Amino acid sequence: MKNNIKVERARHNLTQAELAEKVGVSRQTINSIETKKYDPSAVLALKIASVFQIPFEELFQLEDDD
Amino acid sequence: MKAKKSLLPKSKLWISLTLIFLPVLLFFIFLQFEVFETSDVLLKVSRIIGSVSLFGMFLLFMSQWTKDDGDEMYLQMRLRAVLYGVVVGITGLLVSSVFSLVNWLDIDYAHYNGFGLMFFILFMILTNYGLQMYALSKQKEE
Repeated sequence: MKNNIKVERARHNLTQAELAEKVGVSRQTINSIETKKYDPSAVLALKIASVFQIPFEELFQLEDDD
Repeated sequence: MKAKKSLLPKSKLWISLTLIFLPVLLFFIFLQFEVFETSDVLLKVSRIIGSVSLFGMFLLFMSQWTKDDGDEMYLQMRLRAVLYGVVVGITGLLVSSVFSLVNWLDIDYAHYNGFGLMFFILFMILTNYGLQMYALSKQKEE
């Protein structure tokens, strides 16, 4: 699953640690999501989308191998 | 997140480590004083000590290893480690059983028991989880 977290983070001028604190997870988890090593749960994905105030599907997109 | 509450806090990590190593240490100390009159008593006591140590290993697995440990990604890492441990444990048992059947390598497998297998599985689980944690710690902040 690809995502635009890094782009949105840059747009909102947020570090991984700051975003992690806002959604209640560790910085490592945000890093793993950005680098596509970990697919977040629906709850976490919705929380991240709400931080950036954009629809969920704008932030996360399915890939062919998903 | 909710998963964090089900783990033993990092400040209480010493409990699991004590439960693992203290019984083994006490066992060796008792051996020096010849407390055990018969090998039957020795066997029973060693089983209790083994059980306490195995419980300590389980507690270690259910403890926070770092301050960040406990969110959903760490929960998935734990699940992955358990699956790995069970698969390796069962494979190990199967391979040793086959070796025993064909008498290959001339090793006596009579000592293989539940404690040994449980220790092996828990050890593999902890090793796998530790390696995953190590890989995570190498991530750089952006």
